[in-house]
Parts: sequence; structure tokens; C-alpha cells
Amino acid sequence: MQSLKTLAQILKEVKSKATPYLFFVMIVLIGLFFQAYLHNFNIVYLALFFTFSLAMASCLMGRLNLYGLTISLLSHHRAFSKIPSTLKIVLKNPNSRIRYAISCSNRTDSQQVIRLEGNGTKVISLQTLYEKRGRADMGLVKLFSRFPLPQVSFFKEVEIAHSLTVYPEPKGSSLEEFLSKSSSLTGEQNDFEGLRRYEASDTLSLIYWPSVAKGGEIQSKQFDYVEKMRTLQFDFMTCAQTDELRLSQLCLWVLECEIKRINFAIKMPNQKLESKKLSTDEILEILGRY
Amino acid sequence: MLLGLAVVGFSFIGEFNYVGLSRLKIFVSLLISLLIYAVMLQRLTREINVYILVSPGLLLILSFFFFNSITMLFYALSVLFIFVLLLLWKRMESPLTEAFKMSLTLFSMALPMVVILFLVFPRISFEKSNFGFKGEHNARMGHDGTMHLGSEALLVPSKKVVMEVLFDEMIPPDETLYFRGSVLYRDNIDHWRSRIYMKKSSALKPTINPKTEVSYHITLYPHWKKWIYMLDLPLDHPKKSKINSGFIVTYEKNIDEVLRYDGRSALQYRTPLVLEKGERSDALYVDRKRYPLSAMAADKIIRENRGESERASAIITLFKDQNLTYSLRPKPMNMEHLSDAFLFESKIGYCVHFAATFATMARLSHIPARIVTGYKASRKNSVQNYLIVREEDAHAWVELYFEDAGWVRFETTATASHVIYDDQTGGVVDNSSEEKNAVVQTVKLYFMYAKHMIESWILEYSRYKQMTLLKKLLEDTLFLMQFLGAFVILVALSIAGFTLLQREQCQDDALCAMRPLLKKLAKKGLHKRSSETMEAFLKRSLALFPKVLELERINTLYHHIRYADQKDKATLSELRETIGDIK
Repeated sequence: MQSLKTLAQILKEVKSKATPYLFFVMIVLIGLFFQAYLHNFNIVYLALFFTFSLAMASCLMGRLNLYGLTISLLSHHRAFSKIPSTLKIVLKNPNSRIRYAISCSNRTDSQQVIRLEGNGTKVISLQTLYEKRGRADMGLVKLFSRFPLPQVSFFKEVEIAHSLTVYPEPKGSSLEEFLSKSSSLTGEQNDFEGLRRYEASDTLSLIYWPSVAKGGEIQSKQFDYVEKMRTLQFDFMTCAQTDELRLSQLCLWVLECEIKRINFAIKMPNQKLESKKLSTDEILEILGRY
Repeated sequence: MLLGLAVVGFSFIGEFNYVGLSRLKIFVSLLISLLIYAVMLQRLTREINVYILVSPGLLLILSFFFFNSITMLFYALSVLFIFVLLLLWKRMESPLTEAFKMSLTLFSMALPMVVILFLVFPRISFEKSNFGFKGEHNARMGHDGTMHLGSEALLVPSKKVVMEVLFDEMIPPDETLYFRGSVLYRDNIDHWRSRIYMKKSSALKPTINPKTEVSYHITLYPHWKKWIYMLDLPLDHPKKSKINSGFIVTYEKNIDEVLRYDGRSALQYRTPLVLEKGERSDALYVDRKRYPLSAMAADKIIRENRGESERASAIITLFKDQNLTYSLRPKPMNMEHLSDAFLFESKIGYCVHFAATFATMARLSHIPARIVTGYKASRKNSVQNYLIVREEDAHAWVELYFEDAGWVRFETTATASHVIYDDQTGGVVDNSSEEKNAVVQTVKLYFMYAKHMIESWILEYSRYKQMTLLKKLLEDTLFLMQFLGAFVILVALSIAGFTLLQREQCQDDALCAMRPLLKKLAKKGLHKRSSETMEAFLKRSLALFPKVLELERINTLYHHIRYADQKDKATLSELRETIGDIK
């Protein structure tokens, strides 16, 4: 009784689908059948029955190969709309039987697991892509296999019960362009208070070229206002034309500020987002769900 | 492509009929056409196409026609196995041993289904098509319809199998295992031969004891002659054969391939009390001048014994009194006067000499006699109800005609006082070498029995056998139970094979030894965490089950094994035993 229940469970959990190879198997079966039937040849009958039975046996083995596998979310990178992000999942084999030739895929990406040891786990990185910002589910991960014989493929869909906020696509003008346009924030290009060591994120306009000419260490201009204050003010309404563009622009600046460790504040229509009070992810989340 | 298909299609005009389909030719034609098309396509497109890829498979399927034998059966199954193995090996990307185990697993799962399908899948009653290579070309010897007495005697001590007999029930006793070949009447000095003409079996049937009826199935290997051997006395004859008044069965043509037929015989019988025209004179004809000594002895027998049966007994007594020796290497005898030479001078010979002399003496004593040649089988060449008849079993015996009993068989070699077994030296064979040979012979017998059963139930499985089996299953409850029991055992073996082959290999002896303990503790609700060391887990277990003192010992043993320089089997055994002691 228990075995029947387990069998029913296996059939319910793992689905199957015929592949083009099934067509070939059918032709072989028909050919063997005609050979055996018309000539009353027992060896051919045996070949026919073995072919058929092996196909049936492989259906059960294929289901067992996927049955019981679990998937859990390990981590995911920040998801931005229209930009691929990475999702890390753990594929776990709960029993001692080795699993073979499993393909793990989501909407965007697919990874192969040739072999999964008994009671073992495997970390799989999958790329994901979300078209729109906002709240989204992780979606389904599909486990797929043609093991052992290729005439039938087996698959199992696992819902990753986790949702995330897809942030706006970071695009627009860079932070440096923004700073260079706004002189009240950064001062004149030549009105710098000091020099500092060159950082890779510095634009060309910040480089102190005489240091380059001298051939020594490259140095960048240091603006006293920015260094002292280090809190940029962004206005939602004025940064772009449309809401989506604004959100994208702000997202880009937030990320750049995060890299450069610049404090910022965003003046939203109903609230003010300050980097001193909120983390970058919290701010991005608010932008994503706007 | 359309043009190619049209060309292929036109080439098959005339083949698409039932007769064409039933011949091998259409498959060969189809395969050749497919290959031509595949190669043409490849040359034109410069790409490997699917027809080229599948053509080796189709050639393989065609090869199944070539031969119908156990070898071919194993070949076909091996091909399938290797094909699956290679597929799995490619897919699994693991060592060949793993792919091999997986293939075995698949085959063990498929086996019960194959058995059921093979037994019950509807069969047709077509005659098996007669194509493919013929095996067993070597003709069997031992019996050829005449009995030579001189140097041309067909003495064949070979162990080559002439036929295999499967009895429906127990094998009859040795003294009844006579397989009839030819009946010889004419003494031509150095050989005996049959009558020129013998009628078909007469309307008069033999009188038999129904309790002694036996049924059997014979596999006769080719001997390039027409005789079909049946157990004495045959009651019917197979298809395409005929039986004559001497109860000799002959096939419609020379037997040049393995022939399987069923037979039914009665072990106790009385032949019809009627002789054919001329048969009596043939059976009594003897030239007294050739055998003066024998004639004198016969005259004495006639004088002293009135009845035919008393005279026959007297002949037997005479033979016994002559102290005859049975040997396969007798000295040359004078063929012109064989009876005298054998009975009164040489006194050494084998079955043909005994039979010829006995028949001569019987005729001299006015008893109609004839010689029957064929095979005398022995139960020492049998396994259960399976009997092998070899070339060395070729034999000759005598039948005497009595007015009230018909033709009665006489085993003339039983009158020998001595027997010499060794063919080469005439001495007695060493017993120890005989014992060794006996073991080998027994193994060979069992092997042949298995081979016969495979051929009979797999290669020669037919609609008739299927109907017989199904009928027996429906009518015989005991047989049905046995059949179901056997099937259940097969399924159990299949499951056992699956479990065994899928069992996880033990990489770490110590950890594998601990598994039963972990299972026992898990049943009590104590699970080892993945981040927990074994020592921590065992200590936690001991804290929960302080009365289980073995846990401390297990902890020591486990870590001793774990960190030992060399594998300590004794400690491992002790660990397993200690774990086993925990309840």
C-alpha cells in the first residue's frame, strides 16, 4: 500500500513528455514487430519485448531520478529591471541514490548538473531578468532530465517561495555629469581647494593634469564643498522628464553614490530619502515600488 | 528529396504484397535503398543526416535474421545491452562501471515484463520462415540403415549428440530405451540390410498396455538420411513422415537441419500377429552351409526344445555357455562364417556380432528373426526428464517372431559373460579417472539440459506451446500456483537486483559502519546535525541515553578507525558488533 502511495506521489510530482526520439523508438518497435510477426521468429520477438520493456523501465527510472529533489534559495543579487541578475539556488538530493543529467532552468537561464551525489547538494547560479520594476516573485525553477534513455523527458517545477523588489533600471546621466552641471554644488572647475589621490571613479574633468605632466602620481582636484558636505541633494521632480526616467536616473545616482561613499538625499513628492538614515537597498526598494 | 523517394518507391513495385512482406528480401531491399538514399543525401548536402545515423541500427536489426540459435539469442541481447550501456555512459559522464550497473538495473526491471509479454503475446501459426544460416551441418553417424560386420563396421564411440529427448513425465527404465532405426532381414555375408520393400503400417495396430504409454519430444540433429528415431514401439508418427509395417519412421526428405518432433510410444506391446508376404521367408532365410557348427548346435536345440520360446531360451543359454566377451575391439573374424567364428572361435565382439549371430542361430532353429538397428540410450545420460542420445549409443538388437506374441525384442549383448570397456587397450579403465570424468559429464549434462530448455521454450516457442501453456494454467491449479510462484520469485529477484545495484557505495568504512546506529537513534528522535561532529553527536546521545554505555565504546572505536594510519579490520568488526548489540 505504501509502495502504491509512493508511486502515486512520484507520478504526481514528476511529469513526463515525449521527445522526438520516441518516434525513432516507435519505428524500431514497428519494424521488429513486423519482422517477428511475419516470420514467427522468437529472437526478434525478444528484441521487441526488451526494447518496449526497457522504454517502460526507463520511464520509472527517469521519474525516480528527479523525485524528491528539493530547491531552496541561497541568495540573489540585486535585481534591476531589464538587467540580468544572478540567483543562487541549492539543489539538494535527500536520499542516497545518485542523480544524473539534470538541467536546472528558469525563464532566462539553464544550468546542467551532470551528477548529484547521494545526500549531496549543489549550488547553481541562474541568471534572471525582470522586465519591470516593482514586486516580483522568484518564479518557477524547472528541473529537467532525459535520463536514462532519451525517448521521454521528465520535468519537475519547483516554486521558489520568495518575492523580491525589482529596482528601476539604472540609466541616465552620470553623477559626474550631474555634478559638473550644477556649479553651486561643486563650485567652478578651477576653484578647487586641494589635491587628493586619483580614484578610478574620477572623471577626466577632475584630474589635475599638471600631475600627469610631471609624471608622478596622478592626482585629482578636491572640492571643499563636496568634501565638507558630502551630501548630495537630488530632486525627484527635476531630474528627468517622466516618472520612470526619474526613477531610473535616481537609481543610477544612488548606486554611484554608494560606490563613492557619498551621502545623498532624495526629495520625493511625499518623503525625503536620506542615505544617512536609510540603507541603499531600502532606498532602492522605495524607488522600485514607487 | 521527392525525386529520391519516388525512385525508392518505384523500386519496390511488386514487393508490396503479403508474400513480399513475408520474405527477407523486402527488408534487405528497403535497407539497401535507405543506405543509397542516405549516402546520396550526404554527398549532396555535405552533412551527416539522420538516415546515416540510424542505418547501423537497421543493419543490426537485419542481423537478427541470420541465425536461430542460443548464440544468436545471446548476441541479440548483448547488442541491446551494449547499446543501452553506451547511451547511458554518454549521458552519465561517469565511470563505465556505473553505467554498467545502471544498464543492469534497467534490464533487471525490464525482465519480468519481457517474460510476461513473451509468454502471452499472441502468436500466429505461420510456419517459421526457412531462411538464414543453417547451423549443425555436421552429420551424425552411428546408424545408416545397414549393419556392417567387417572392418567397414560403423563403430562410432563418439560422444556427439544424435538427439535430445524430453519426456513429459519420468524417463522410462533403461531396458526400454530403445530407439528404432532400421529393420534388417538380409544377410549379405559382411553386412545385413533391410528388405527391398516394406509396406506402410498396416491397419492392424499393435496391442499395447496403455499404462506404459509415454509421450516425448525429440530434437534430432541432422544426419542427412531420412530416419526418424522413435522409442520402441511408436504409436504414431510426426508430420511429413511415414511409418511402415516394421514400425520404422522415415521423413519425407533427408534430415539436413535440426528437426523437432513429438512422439508417443508404448513400452509394453505386442506387434500384430501377421507377417507380410515374403516376410516370413526373409526372416527365416539362412545358409546352413556357411555355419556348420552353428547348424549343429541349432539342430540339437530343435531336438531338445519343441516350442519356439523354449528354443529361444536355449539359444540364450548356449550364448551364455560360450563365455562370450563384449568388446569394441574384437579380433578380425571370418565374415563368411561369422556365426561359427564368433560363437565358437573368437568369442569376442560387440553388438553387431552378437545380433547377427543370434539372428542366425534363431533362423537355424526355425524361429523367424530380424535385426533392428538404432540407438540404445542410457539414463546415465539424463537429467530429470531430459535424455541425451549420443553416437556411441548406436546399437543393434534382435527381434524374434512368435506366433502368439508377434515380434519380441531380445537384447543379445546381455548374454556376454565379460565386458571390456576401454576402447584402446582392452583393459579395465582406471576408476579414479572415471570419477573425474563423471563430474565433468554431469556438468555437461546439466549444461545441455539448460540449452535444450532454452531452445525448446524460447527459440521454439510457438502458438501451439502458448495454447498448451495457457490451457494448462487454466485447468491445473497446482501448475498455476507454481507458475505464479515462479513469477513472484522473478519479480522479487528483479527488485533485489534493482536495490542491490542502486545501493550506495561505501566510501568511508567508519561512516558506513555508523549508519545503522544513526538510523536507530533517528527512530528515537535524535538526528545528527550536518554541522555536528560525530564526537559531539555521540556525546549528546549519551547525555540523552545515559544507560546505553556502548555509545562511549563506539565513540572510541570510531575515532580510532578514523584516525588510524592503516585499516584496522578487527576494530571495524568490533565497531559493527557493538552497534549491532544496541537495541
